[in-house]
Amino acid sequence: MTVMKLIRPALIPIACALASTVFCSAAQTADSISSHLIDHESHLPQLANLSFENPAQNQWRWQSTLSSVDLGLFRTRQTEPANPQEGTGMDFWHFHAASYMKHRSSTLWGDASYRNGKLRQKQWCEAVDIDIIYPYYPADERGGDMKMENYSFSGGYADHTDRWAWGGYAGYDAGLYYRDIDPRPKIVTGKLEISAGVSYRAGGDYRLGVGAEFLKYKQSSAISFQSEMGEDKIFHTTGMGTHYVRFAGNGATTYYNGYRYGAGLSLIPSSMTGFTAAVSLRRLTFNTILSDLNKLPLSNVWHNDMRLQAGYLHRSESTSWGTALQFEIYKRHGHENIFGDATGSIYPQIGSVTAYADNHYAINLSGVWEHWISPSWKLSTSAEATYAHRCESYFTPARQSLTDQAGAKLNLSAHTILPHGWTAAATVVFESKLPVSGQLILREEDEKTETAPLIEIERIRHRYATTNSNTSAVEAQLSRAVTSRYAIRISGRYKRTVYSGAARVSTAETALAFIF
Amino acid sequence: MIMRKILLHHLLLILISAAIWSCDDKITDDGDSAQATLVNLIIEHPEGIPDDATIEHGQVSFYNISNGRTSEYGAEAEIRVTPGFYDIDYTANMHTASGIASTIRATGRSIQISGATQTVSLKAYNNIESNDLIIAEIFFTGTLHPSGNQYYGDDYIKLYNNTDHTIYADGLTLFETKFATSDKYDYTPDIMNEAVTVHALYTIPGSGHEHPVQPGEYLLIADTGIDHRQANPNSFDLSHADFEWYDLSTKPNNMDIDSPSVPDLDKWYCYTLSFWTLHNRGFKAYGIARIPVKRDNYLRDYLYSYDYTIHSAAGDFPMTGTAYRLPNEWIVDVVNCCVQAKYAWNVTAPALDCGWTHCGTIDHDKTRYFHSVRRKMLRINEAGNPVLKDTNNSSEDFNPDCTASEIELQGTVMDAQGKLCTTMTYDGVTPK
Repeated sequence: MTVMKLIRPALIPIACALASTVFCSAAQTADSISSHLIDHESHLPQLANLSFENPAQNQWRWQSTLSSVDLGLFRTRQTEPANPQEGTGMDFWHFHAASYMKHRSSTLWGDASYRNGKLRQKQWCEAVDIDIIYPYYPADERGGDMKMENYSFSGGYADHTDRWAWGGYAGYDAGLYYRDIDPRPKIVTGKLEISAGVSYRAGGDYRLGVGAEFLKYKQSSAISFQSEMGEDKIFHTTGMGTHYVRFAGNGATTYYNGYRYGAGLSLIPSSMTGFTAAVSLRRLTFNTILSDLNKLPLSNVWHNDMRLQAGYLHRSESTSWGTALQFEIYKRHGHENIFGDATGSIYPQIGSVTAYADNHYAINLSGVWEHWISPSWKLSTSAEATYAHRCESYFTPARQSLTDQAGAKLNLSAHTILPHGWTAAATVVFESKLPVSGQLILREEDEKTETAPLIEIERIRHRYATTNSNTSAVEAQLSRAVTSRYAIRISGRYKRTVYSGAARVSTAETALAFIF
Repeated sequence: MIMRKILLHHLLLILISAAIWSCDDKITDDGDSAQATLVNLIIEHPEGIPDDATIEHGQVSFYNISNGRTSEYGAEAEIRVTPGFYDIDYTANMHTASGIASTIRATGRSIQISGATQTVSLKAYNNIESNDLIIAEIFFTGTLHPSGNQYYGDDYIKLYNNTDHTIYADGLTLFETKFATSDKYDYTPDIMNEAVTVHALYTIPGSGHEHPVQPGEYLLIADTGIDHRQANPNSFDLSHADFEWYDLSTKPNNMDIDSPSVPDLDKWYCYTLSFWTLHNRGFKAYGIARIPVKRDNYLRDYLYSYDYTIHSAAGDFPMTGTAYRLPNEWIVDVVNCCVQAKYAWNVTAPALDCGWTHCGTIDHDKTRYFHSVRRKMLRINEAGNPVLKDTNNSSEDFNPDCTASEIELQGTVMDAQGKLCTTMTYDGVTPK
């Protein structure tokens, strides 16, 4: 068995040589950059992505080195927003550089990107990263498009000995979002992520790792008005169509300050063949602060999540396959602080009440099969089935959204190594989501109030969460190796989701990349 | 073997997590009870209630200042509310065998409610029934020039005879409070339950029977009683006002205009050395009073000195101030004004006014111009006169954000876009 492992890499060029002359010439060219390209398209590592969050384990993700520099365009549009607070879509162009390099026992990876574009028609939310800060946003009744710029830099390093492996990762993401007509939010975001981990060879090539992560998040949203016809009222949403009535019209500058701590345990075979399992626990907390009111702490949130993943992987030169079961669960509580009478614009905090809760769990079963049917053709398929449950509640007035949803996804890909250094790939994706059950309770809704649209947003969100949807996507890539170490790739992707209510989401993206 | 142990540990973690986290945080059937506080409300009824009096139809409302939610309960109901910061209002009807009927009220402001149970005691009072003029309208916002700039001088207050008999306006004093409804401080000594702190006092002249106001008649008191359309085509004519307040300014750059056709109020006192206008965002309370002492005696005997502390991020700053005090018994009517975004407190005792009204909703709200607060009309009486609502609760008694009555009467410009007013109402809402 050991002998087979040793000679297997050597057999591949020999097999190529025995193949037809066309295939052989193609494969010889592809043995370097083209085959690395195809290797890095593999879906197999996704079955153990939780393990790879530990930087010490990330060195087993890929066996080859690959770097790329992309310049691309992205556009997505919704005929009706599934969540008006997120908007109807976005357009941006981006520059992206990514690298995964191996040198002897060391692995170095990094990522740098710049995005510049526009968020379309965000309503009732003058904040971004709402998957982190929900449900507490500054909001006004007008909203509109928002220009965006986003920078991110990250890098990691891992190394190993026969027994031990270690690694570290740091990343920083900064964003600037603004609108140059009233209302004029200026939103600045910053996200610093640091993680580190070690792993120990527990037997065979199994690596048992332990990792820790830390995230510092901040966002400031300052809304100004220049119109002489007056200002809009700023509201501070508190979830499920509610807002903090007392401070409506006050607090044009909102600041979010958050931290996340996490730890994980993972087991992965360094050869990517064998059982894998991982567990991750994280706790995010953040405060929503109204800077204009002497840094009034309007609310605070804790969000605990746990993710578990277990599966089996098999990676070989000709056929790779794997299956994994993933379970994730989170619980989020939002606490609204209560303030006494202000004395000189300082509001003393006199209490706090748990007003909002969000509970979620999802179970996902996925599988991947990838096979080189010939030296120049590789077929891949991946499939997954998901069941998700979510219960979002606001306690007074009583409001609740309960959703249960099942989904299935199928991904079919073909990669081919063509003569003269060309490589082509095509992927089709089909995804379907079906509502299992849903219930929306909105007590004490008043259609006549100025914040009635917030209630309507809850109805829209619930409707989209309990509507069946079908997604299909096609993706194509064409690359040409310029030398054995360099290639140029052009890629395009189109995705379309149709909801039963006839609303559609279309996403198109294209990129030109230099690969090395 | 090691692998199996690790997998078993994972399985154990799954079971633990499922046990801890799988329960949804769901709402309860009655919404409130999850974190609710049981409130034991004690109403201390006023002294002097006849033995044969019957108090019935008690109602209590809890207004949650944080989320704006109002919960209402009957007098005998079990009161459960979410912990928070509340304004509480109690009303009940009192009847005696001799036929006397009145309304009992109790008001609690900024009450913190927390814990499993809490006792709240409120002192009730007999609602003061007005037998004098009442404030029917306050136009404090002013108008805008066509250029969009603020125009000064066309603010006014309208008084109304809501009774069935003639009332003489002679000696009635118009006042503005010193303290702002938008800024709360702990003023010491706290005299709010005995007096209103004022810094502008203007009195209708007369010997007592010179200025009759018939039932259903209005008395218009203007800042400047001229035809303002000469200076601002977006304004209106106030040359028909019954009175104006005029200030002999000591600031040459800020001189007041004295209308030759409109008599001036007697200026008792005003804080400004130039000229007085109503606060154009309405962060004050305005009222009328009948002061039973002479001007000089009043100014000598009713000075009020107070201390307070400004708390800021830079530290605490002890402050002092002086104003005049008007005993609550002299007050005929008072209206607290503010905007919701800035409202901090009422600057008068709850027995005088337990609510507040507004033009605009946020500070510097430009939609407020051309608008006034107007007292609600209940009905038209047998004489054909409007009967206006007067429960000493400006939140209930006034329509906020109304087109000013003088704009309606004269059909002048009603917004910054120059649109002419074509509607006519009794109270800003009820059409004529």
